[in-house]
Amino acid sequence: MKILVPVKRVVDFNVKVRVKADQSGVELANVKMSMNPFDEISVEEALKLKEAGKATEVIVVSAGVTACQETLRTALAMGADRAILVETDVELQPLAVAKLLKAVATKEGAGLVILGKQAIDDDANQTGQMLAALLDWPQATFASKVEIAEGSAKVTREIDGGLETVEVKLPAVITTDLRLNTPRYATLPNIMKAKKKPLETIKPDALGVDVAPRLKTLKVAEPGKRKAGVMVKDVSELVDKLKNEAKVI
Amino acid sequence: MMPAPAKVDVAIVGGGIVGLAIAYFLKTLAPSIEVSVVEREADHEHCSTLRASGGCRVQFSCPENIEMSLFSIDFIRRFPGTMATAQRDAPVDWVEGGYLFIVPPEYEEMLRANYEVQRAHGCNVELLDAAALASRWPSMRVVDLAAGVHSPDDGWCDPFQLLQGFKRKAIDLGVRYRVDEVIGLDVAGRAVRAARLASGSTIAADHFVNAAGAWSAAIGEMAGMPLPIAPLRRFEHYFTCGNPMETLPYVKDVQRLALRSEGKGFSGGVVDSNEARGFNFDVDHDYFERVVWPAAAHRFAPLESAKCHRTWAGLYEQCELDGNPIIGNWPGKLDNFHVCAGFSGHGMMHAPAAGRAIAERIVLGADRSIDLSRLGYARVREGRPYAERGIV
Repeated sequence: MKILVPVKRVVDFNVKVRVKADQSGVELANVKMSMNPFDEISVEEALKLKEAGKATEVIVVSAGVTACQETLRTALAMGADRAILVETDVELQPLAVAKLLKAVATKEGAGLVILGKQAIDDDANQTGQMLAALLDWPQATFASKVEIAEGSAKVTREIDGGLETVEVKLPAVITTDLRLNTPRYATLPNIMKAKKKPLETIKPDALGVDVAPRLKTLKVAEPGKRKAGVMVKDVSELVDKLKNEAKVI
Repeated sequence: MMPAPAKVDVAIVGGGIVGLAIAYFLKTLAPSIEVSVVEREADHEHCSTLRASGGCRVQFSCPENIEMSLFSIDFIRRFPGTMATAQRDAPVDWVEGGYLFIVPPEYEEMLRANYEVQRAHGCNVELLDAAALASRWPSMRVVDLAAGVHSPDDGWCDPFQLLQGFKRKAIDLGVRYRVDEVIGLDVAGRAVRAARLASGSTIAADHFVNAAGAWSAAIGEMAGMPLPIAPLRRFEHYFTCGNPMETLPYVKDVQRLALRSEGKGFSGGVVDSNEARGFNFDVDHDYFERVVWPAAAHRFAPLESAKCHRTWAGLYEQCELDGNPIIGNWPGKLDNFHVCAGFSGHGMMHAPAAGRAIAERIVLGADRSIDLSRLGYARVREGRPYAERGIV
């Protein structure tokens, strides 16, 4: 079974994100970019399945600008077998990405697609679900445990108030949650080796997918500034302020 | 008519760690002295102090640097007790993690000579051969090493807290701290008379101190005092190891690799002395993978598996003459204009001692604690470098 793992290049989670002066988006110039952390978890899970003999090949795919190659190389350094970049400068929205992934999954004959449940930049939490619908495959979202059996997958899901275990027939779409695993580090020797692994570049046209945005971003704004706090002299002043100013007690 | 400018005894240009240490020691030596500190940035955003790694060590070859370190380390260790004010504590998170300098065979003689100088100054240092290094730090690759010197009393602190501690204490002692920018210095005869500020106001003073760090050459220029000090960008990285590994002291080698344990990971970098000089704060996000990681993984095999979480850029105030600070006035030419800059990466660790030295010269008229005359401006005028031997 081939496992397809989509990975997204996002602003590193350590970066303090700044909104562009013209409010058209966030500042990306000279900002550290990394693999979406949920996608690292997906890569790790796919690698574990391959190591356990449940999969034959792990293919990573990314859609976007040329620099997404770096993200793919990171996944290859972690251990993925080969990579595909669907290259475009067009701003990609979840539906377009899902259509691209459907085309790649079909072309590659993937038996399982493991995606992050969301990307930390737009927090959309849509691509996996849209992909399952487009492929007409079963989906198991927010996975915290994955067990593959003959022709099916048992997935433990993180839901409000507890865990839910579902069984889906393969092929299927699984989206990963934080507690599924701890992604391995790429090693320096493997980073060198990853430079020699195959990385194929294709255009959305070649997959027959129209990636034109369906939504228009009107404005991106920073959250409101937090007001400065005040120092209180003692407990009675604090209680007084909570009672009479904040009116919370 | 313009109002008469405010007059103080000492005006300090630069409110980073060096300027604040000078202000603090001036007020301790002479409580009635009037001191003004002018700092460009209210939040110290580009200030080198806050971008420093916080290391403090006695491993130098010049006696002045060793003596400055001995005083400064002791001062920083006792900082929370000495520098607390009625309102605030003064923690600096001092970690006595030690330093370890490691060298290949061709540098062994130099390391030994430096070790002897350090011993002569009473430093706690131990010379270790390659076998001893390997047994003490099992992860270290020692095949290309001849020896190392370990200084267990050295360590590192939090530069931000050190700066805040000096700032609060100085203000508490009566130092006038203002956020403004010096845009000109008025010189008459052999003295600087006044500093003109961006806000339009002026400060007159009997003494001026140039503690502007990476920006000190521009301040010197305003008084006609050329300084061979240039901004040199360096990166500091925080990274974690994918394999179990022992705690490291602050390890430094002759290729300028420096790293130490920090929390669950490591903090370190590799200075590139050939980097183009300039006020550049851009981060090269590939630098870790390209330069630092291979060097660190070569020395410590477990670090072949590593992940860099943060990289930030800061400026060395690089003294292009010899990598040592310039501490002093220009005798006979600008008697009341004291430079205290060019620390070339050692500013935070030497700020207490250098601050005390400038204060002694202004208040007492001479070096009382450590003779720093060899670090004065004369060597710049005469083009006589006075450099460290070995690892800087």
